[in-house]
Amino acid sequence: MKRRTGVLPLGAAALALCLLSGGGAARAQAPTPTPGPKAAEAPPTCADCHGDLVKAFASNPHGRYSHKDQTQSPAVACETCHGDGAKHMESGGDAKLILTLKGGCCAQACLNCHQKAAGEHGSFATGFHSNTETVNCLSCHSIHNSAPKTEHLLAKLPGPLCQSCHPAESASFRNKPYTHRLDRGGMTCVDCHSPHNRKGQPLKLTMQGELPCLNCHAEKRGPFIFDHVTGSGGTCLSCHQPHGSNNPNMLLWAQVSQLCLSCHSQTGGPPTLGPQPPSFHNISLPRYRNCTTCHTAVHGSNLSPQLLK
Amino acid sequence: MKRARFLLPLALVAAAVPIGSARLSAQAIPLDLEVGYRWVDVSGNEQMYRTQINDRPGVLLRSINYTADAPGSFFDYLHFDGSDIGAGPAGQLRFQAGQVGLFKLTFTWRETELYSALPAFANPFLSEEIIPGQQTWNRTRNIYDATLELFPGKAVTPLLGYTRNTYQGPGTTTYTLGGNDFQLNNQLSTVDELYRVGVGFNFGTFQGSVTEGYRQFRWKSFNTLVPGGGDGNNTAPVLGQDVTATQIDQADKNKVNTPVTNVWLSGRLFGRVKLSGSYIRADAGAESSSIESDAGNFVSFQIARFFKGLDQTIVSNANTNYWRGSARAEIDLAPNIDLSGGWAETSRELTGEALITNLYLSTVTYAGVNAGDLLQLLQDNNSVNWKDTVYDARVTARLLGPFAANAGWVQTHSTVTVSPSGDDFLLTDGSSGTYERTVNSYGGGVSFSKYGLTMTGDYYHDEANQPIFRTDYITRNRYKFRALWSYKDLFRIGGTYQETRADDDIVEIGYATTVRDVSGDLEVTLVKNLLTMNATVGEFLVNRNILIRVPQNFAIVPTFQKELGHTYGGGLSLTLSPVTLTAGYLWFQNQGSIPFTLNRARVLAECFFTKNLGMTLEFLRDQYDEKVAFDQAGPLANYIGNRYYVGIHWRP
Repeated sequence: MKRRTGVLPLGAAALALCLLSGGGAARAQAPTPTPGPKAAEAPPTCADCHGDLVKAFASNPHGRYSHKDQTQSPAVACETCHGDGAKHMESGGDAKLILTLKGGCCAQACLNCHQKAAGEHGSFATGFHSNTETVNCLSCHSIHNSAPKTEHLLAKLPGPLCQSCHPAESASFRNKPYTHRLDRGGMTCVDCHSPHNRKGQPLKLTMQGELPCLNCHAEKRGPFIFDHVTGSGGTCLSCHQPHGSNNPNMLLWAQVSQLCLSCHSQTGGPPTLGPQPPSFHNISLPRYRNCTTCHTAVHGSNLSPQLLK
Repeated sequence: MKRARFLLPLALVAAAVPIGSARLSAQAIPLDLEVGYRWVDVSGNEQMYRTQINDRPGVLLRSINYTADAPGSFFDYLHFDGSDIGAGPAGQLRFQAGQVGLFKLTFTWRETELYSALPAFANPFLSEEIIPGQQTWNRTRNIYDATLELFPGKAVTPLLGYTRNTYQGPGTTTYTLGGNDFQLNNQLSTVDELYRVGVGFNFGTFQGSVTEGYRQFRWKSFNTLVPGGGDGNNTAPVLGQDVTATQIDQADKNKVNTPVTNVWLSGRLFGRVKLSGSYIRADAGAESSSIESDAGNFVSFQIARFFKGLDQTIVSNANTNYWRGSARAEIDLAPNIDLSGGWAETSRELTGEALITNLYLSTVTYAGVNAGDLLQLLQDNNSVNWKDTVYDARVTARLLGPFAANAGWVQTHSTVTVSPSGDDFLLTDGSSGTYERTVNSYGGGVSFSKYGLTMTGDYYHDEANQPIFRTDYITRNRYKFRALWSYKDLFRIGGTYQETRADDDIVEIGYATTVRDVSGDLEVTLVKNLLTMNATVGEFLVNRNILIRVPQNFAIVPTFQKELGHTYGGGLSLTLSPVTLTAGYLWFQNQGSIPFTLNRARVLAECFFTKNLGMTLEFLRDQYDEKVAFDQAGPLANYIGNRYYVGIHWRP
C-alpha cells in the first residue's frame, strides 16, 4: 500500500506535466504555416536532395537548437558540421565537395560545440574513448541514425554498444549465474561507467566521490563505528565481482570462510590489517564453516564490535 | 499493488495522446508500446531460480517509448521511455522534457526486486538437506531521481535535484546469543534521500560547477525469533545445559545526516594548457540505537554465568570527515598529442563510540549459585583514518595515421591508521597501528585501425612496496589484446585476450591470483536484410591461492579458489517482413570450486499484422545444474526455469 501511495502522486504529477505539454502542443499547431517561396524560385537547399534527413533533423537534439533561432535556415544547421555546401550543390552533389564525418578526425566537428568537460574526470577531447581511428565520437554516437530507444544519440542500446569492444565483460553478465541484471529493466553499463572519463578513472563516482555501488546500495555506506573493509582501505571490489560471478552473492571465493580467512589469518610476514588469528572456531563443523552465519553485519555495524548484528 | 506500478507509465501514455499530433520526430519514436503477460514454469529449486533469475509471472509493460516536439509550447520537447514494469524483477521509467535554452526536467524511476535464498549460504544444516540457508531476503528497492536544470547550454545553469532510494522488505537472519545461534525473522526499511542545489557555468575557456547537497539516511530493522527456532543451531549442551530461546526481539534504528559539497573547475591557458581542479567534502554524522529483549536458557563466557534473559540497549554515534581534492594539467604538445598529469588526495577520518548496556536476568554461576540480575556497561571507541595520495602522468598520441598510443605512470600512496580503544574489536591487537603502502603502476597501449581491421593492446605493470591487507599484491601484471576485422556490415570476427596476474611472494602469505578471460565472436550476414547469425566461444579462468591459518588447530595451510569456465553460444536473426525472429543459445560449464553447467535459450518472434499492431512471443529457458562439491548444495540447487511471454506491440 505504501508503494501505491508513492506512485500515485508521481503519476498525477506526470499527467499534469504532460497535459501542460499537450496544451502547448495544440497551441503550437494553431498557426497556419506560411507558404514558402515556390521551389522554382527558391535557392537550392540541403532538403532538396536530403529531404528525409532534414525533416528528421528538426526533432534531433541538435536540430532543436537550430529551430529555436527562427532566422536560421536548415542549411545553416547542416553546414555547422558538414561545412559550406555551396560547391557540393553546384556540382550536383559531388560527395568529395562536402565534409563527410568519419573516423577520428570527425571529433573536431563535434568538439567545436562539445568543448565542455564532462565533469571532474571527463573530457570529450581527451577521455580514454576519445578521438583515435579505433574509438571516436561516431563509434558510439550516430547523429542521423541513432537507435530509437536511446538517449544521447547512441548508435545502439548501451549493452550491445559496449559489447562490441568489451565482449568479455559483456559475456560475464550473460553466462555467470550471479550477476546484476543488465538491460531488460535493469542496469546498463553507463549506470556505473562514465565513457568520457580519462584513462584510469572509468567509474561514475557518486556525488560524494565514492564507488557507484553506493548509488543503489546506500545502506552499505555507513559510517559505521565498527567499520569493515570499505571504511578501512578496501572497497566493495575487495570481496565482490560486480560484472558477474560464479560464486553466490557475487563473491570472489566460493567458500565464505576462505574469503574471510584470506585476510583474517596471522601466518607471519609483515603486519597487515585485520590479521589476528581467528578464534577457536572449528570450521570443520557446519555451524562454524560459514563465518557470516554469526558475523552477519559484514559491511559494518553500529551495534556490535564483532559485527554480530 | 502490482497494478499501482502501471499507474505512472499509463498516465504518461494517456497524457501523450493529446500531443500525438505535435511535430514528431522521424528519428525518434512517436509512440511505441508493448504490453503482455508472462507465464513462469519452474521445476527444481524455485528458491535458487528466484535468487539467480527471478522473472515473475504477471502482466508486464515490456516497453514504452514516446517522443514529441512542440516548439513554442511549455515543453519544446518531451520524451519518456520505460521497460519491464510490472511483473518484475526490475523495471525503469525515464521522463525528459524541457524548453530549449530555458529548462530541462529529468525524472527517472527504477524498481528492483532483490531475492536471495541460497541453499548453501549460512546453512549449518546443509548436510541434512535442509535448504535454503538461514540468511534470506525478499526486498524491493525503488530509486526516484528528479533534476531540474535551468538555462541548459547557457553560460550559467542553476540545478535543483532530489534523489530518493528506498529499500525494504522481509528477510531472515541469524543472531549469536548465549552460546547458540538462532534464526530470526527480519523486517528492514531504509530510506536514503539526497537534496542538491548547484550551479554550472561555462564561459568558454572557464567552466565548472558548484553543487551543495544534503543527504538523509534512515534505517529501521526489527528482528524476532522465527517460530520453532528456539533450539538454535547448536543442539549440544554447553557446560551441561541446553541453550534455548523463547524470545528474541530486536528493534534497531540508525540515522545519518551528511552535508556534501562538490566543486570542480576547469580553465584553459594560452590555448594549449588546460588546468582543472576539484574538491569534495562530505562530513557524515550517524546516530544509532538498539533495544533487545531475550528470554530462554543461555550461557555467557564473558560474565562466566548462566542466565535466563537479556535486556540490552545500545546507543552509538559515528562521524566521518571525508574530503577529496585534485588538480590536473593537460598540455597539448602537438596536434593530437597531449601530456597530462595530476594529483589527487582522499582523506577519511572515522571516529565513533558506543555505549552498550546489558542487563543479564536471573544469572547463575557455573557453580550453581543463584546470583540474581547482573548489569554490565561497556563503552567502546573506535578510530580509523584512511588517506590516499595519487600522482599520475600520461602522454597520449591520438591520430598517428591509423595508430594511437598512450603511456603513463601512476603512484598511489595509502596510509591507514586504526586505533580502537577496547579489547573486543574486530580490528584490534595486531591490527592497531599505522599501515602504509605505495604502488607504482606503469604501462600503456597501442591501437591500430584501417581497412576494417582493428587491433588494440594494453599492458600495465604494478609494483607495491608492501601489503596493507594480506590480499594486496606486491606485483601485478595486466594484459589486454583485442583484434577485430569487419567487412562492411556483412562479416565481423573478433577475439579478446585479457589476463591479470597478481602475487605477493612474501613467504608467510603466499598470495597469487590469475584471472584470464579469452573470447571470440563472429557475426555473419548470410542474406542482407534477411538473415544474420552469430557465434561466441570463451574461456574464463580463476586461480587464486593464499596461505591461511585454520582456526581449529591453527595450522597454516594453502587454500585456493579455482574456476575454469567454458562458453559456447550462438544465435540467428531472421527478418521476413512482417515477421522478425531472433533466437540464441548459450552453454556455460564451470569447473573448480563450484562446478556447474548453465544452459540458456531465448527465442523471440514478432509479427506485425498491420502497420501499427503486432504480436510478440518470447520463450526463455534457464537450466542450472550444480555438481557435488565441498560444502555446495549440488543437485539440491538445480532448477529449470521456463518463461513464456505473449505481448501486443502497438506503434501508431
